[in-house]
Amino acid sequence: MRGWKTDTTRTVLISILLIYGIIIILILFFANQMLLDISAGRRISNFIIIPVAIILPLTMVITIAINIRRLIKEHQTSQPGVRFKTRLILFFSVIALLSALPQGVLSINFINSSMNTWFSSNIGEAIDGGLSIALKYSDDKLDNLRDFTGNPVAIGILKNFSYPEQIWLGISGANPEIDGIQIFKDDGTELYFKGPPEARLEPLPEYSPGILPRQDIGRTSILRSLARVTEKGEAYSVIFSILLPESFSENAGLLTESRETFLQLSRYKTQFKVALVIFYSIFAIPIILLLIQVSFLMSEEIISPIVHLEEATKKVAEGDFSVRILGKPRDELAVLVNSFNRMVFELEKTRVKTIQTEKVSAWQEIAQRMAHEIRNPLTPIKLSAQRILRKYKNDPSAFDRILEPAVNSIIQEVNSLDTMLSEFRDFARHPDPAATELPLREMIREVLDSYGRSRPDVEIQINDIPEEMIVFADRNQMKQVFSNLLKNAYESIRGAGQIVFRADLVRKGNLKYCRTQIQDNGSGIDEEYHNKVFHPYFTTKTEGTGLGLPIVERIISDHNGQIWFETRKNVGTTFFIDLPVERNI
Amino acid sequence: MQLSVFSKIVLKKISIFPLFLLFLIPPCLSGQTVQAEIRDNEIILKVTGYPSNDLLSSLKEGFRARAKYTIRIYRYRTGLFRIIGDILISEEQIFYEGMWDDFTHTYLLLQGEDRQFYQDPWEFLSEFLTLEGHPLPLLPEKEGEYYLLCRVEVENLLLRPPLTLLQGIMSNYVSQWVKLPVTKNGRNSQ
Repeated sequence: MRGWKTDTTRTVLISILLIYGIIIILILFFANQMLLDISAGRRISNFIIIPVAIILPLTMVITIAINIRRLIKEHQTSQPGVRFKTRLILFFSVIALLSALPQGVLSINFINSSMNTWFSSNIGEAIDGGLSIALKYSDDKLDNLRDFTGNPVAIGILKNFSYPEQIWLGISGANPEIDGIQIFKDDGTELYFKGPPEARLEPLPEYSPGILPRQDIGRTSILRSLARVTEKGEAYSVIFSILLPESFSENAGLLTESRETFLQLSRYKTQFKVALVIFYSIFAIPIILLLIQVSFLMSEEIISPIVHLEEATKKVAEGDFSVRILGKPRDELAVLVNSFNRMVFELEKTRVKTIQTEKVSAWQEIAQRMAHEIRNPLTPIKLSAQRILRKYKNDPSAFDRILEPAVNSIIQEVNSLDTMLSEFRDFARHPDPAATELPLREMIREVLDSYGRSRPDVEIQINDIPEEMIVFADRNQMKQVFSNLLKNAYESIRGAGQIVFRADLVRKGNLKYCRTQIQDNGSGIDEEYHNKVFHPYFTTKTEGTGLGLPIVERIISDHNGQIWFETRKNVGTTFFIDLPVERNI
Repeated sequence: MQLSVFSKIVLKKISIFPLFLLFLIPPCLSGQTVQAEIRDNEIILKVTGYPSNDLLSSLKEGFRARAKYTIRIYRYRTGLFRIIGDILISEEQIFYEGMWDDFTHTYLLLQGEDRQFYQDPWEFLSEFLTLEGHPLPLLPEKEGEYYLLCRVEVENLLLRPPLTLLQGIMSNYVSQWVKLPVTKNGRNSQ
C-alpha cells in the first residue's frame, strides 16, 4: 500500500512555513527600524544589516542551490513528475519576480520623481532668495550698529554721562533702529539701562569694542555693539542693542537647514538613488529568495500526490493489482484517489474472475476433448471383445480365425490411447527450460538429420540462417519445437515442395531477439481454423492428438518468446518464432 | 551539474557580498591620533593631525560637521568567563556640531543648547576636535578594576534625513579605541 507523506513530514513542512513566516515578519520589522533610524538621522545598526543583508540571503541562496542541484539530478534520472515540478517552480519564481521588480521600480521612481519635485531648482532658488533676504536684513542691522558705534554723531551724543537719560534720547533720535542702550562704568557696574529687558547684559562681557556675538534668548535675537568712551578721565562701556524680529533666528535657522538639505540632495542625488535601490534590494531579495524556496516546497506538495498516482498506475499496468493510495480525507484529489482505488479493486476482481473462468473453460474443453479421445479407441476395443466372445460362443470352429485380428485391433487401440495419454502428460507437466546459448543452424540441421530422407521430393533450405546466429534456449525443447513444425510442414505438402528456414536479428525496445521463419508451400490453413490452431486437441488430421502446436506454443512462451503464423490457402504457411538471444530476459 | 561548476557559482555569489561590508566597516583615522587623559576627575580627548582644510571647506559650503566622543566604562572580568570579554558598565556619547553661521560670519560650535561663536577658524577647530572638562563618569560601588575606552568619530558632512541612508559610505573618520585605566577615586592610574 502506498501513501501520501506521513503526518510527521507534514508537520515539518508546516513548521518550515511557520519559520519562514516569522522570518518575513522580522524582515518587515527590521525594514521599519531602518527607516526609523534613517528618519531620525541615526546610523543604521549593524545588528540589522548583517543578518538581513548577509546571513539570510546567503542561507537562502545555499538552500535554493541545493534544491536546484536536486532538481537537476531528478531530471537526469527522469524521476516521475519532474517536468511538471520544474514548470511549477519556474512559474512561482517568475510570479515572485514579476511582482517584486515592477513594485520596486515603481516605488523608486516615485520617490525619485517626488524628490525632484520637492527639491526642484525653483525651491532651491526660493530658499537661497529667502536666506539672502534674511542675511541682508541681518547684515544691514549689523552694519547699522557697526557704523553707528564709530559714528561721530554717536560719539558726539555719548557725552555727559551724568545725564544718561538724555544720552538715550539723543541716541534713539539719531538712530531709531537702536532698541536699547546699556552703560557700564569702568569698574563694571551698570550706570544706565534703557530698552527691552532681554537686551540687558549682566555682567559686562569681556569683549573688544565692536560687534558682539548675537544672543538668542527664547525666540528673540539680539545684536549688540560695544563702544568705549572716556569722558572727564572716566572710562565708560556703552552697549547698543538691536532686537531682531521675534522668531527671526528660528526662521533663519530653518532656512539654513533647508538650504543645507537642498545642497546635500543636489550633491548626492545619484548616490541616493543607488542607495535606495540597494536598500530596497536588501529587503526584497530575501523575500524573493524566500518565495522561490517556498515554491520548491509547494511544487513538491502539489506534485507528490500526482506522482504517487502515476507510480500506482504503472504498477497496475504491470499487473500489480494490490496497489492502493491513501488519500487525505478533505483533499481535492481525494475524489480522484478514491475512484482510482475503486477502479483497481474492480479490475482485480474482474481479472481474478476472468482467470478463473478461463481456467475452468480450458479444463472443461480439455476434459471434453479427453473424454472424446478416450472414447474413440474404447469403441473398437469393445467391438473386438464382443466379436471374440460371440465367435467363441456361437462358432468355436471359426474362433481361431477372428482371435488374432480382433486382439491386434485391441492392442492397436490401447497403444493409440497410451500415446495420447503420454502426450497429454507431457503437455500438462512440461519441465522448465534449461536455457543455454545454442547455435540455431546447427540445431535445425540435427532436426533435419533425424528426419533423414523421408521426403526426398521436398527441398529443404537453411542457407538464410547465419552460422553465428545464437538463441538462448533449452536444446531438447527447441528440437521438439522445430521437429513439430517441420512435421506439420511436411504433412501440408502433397508431392514436391519446398521448406525454407530463415533467421534474422530483431530489436524490441532494449531487447534483441532471433526471428526464425519456417516457410512451406503446402496447402495452407483454412481461415476458419486460424483461431484454433494453438488450441489443445484441435486437429484437421485423421491421425494426431492435436497437442503438437499447443506444446510448441507453451515451450516458446516459457522461453519468453513469441510464435505466430501467416498462411494462404493453397499457397503455403510461414511460422514465425521470436526467441531471445541474451540471458537477461 | 558538475560539483566544480556548482562550487564556482556559489563562490561567485559569495564574492559579491563583500561589497555590502562597505556599509559595515567605517574607515579608520589614518595619520590622525587621539590623545586621551584624565586630569582632576575630568576626561580630555584631543584629535591631532586631522585634515582641517576639508572640514573647513565643507563648513563654508553650508554643511554641518559632527564630532562624536564616546566614553565607555568597563570592569575587568575575572575567572573562567574572561574569554567572553570585560563587563560594560556604561556608555556616554557627547556630540559637537560645527557650522558656519552666515549671519554672524563666524564659526558656530553647538553642544546641545550651548552655542559658541568663533571668528578664528583654528580656534574653532581646536575646540571642535577637543573634548575638555568632561567629568569622569561615576564608577559603581562594586569593587574591582575599571578602565575607560574612548573613541572619536568625526563626520565632515552631517547628512540630513533621508540622506542618512548614505551615512555608511561617507568618508567618516573613526579613531581606534583608546584605553585609560582608572581607579575608584577617579584618577588615571598611569
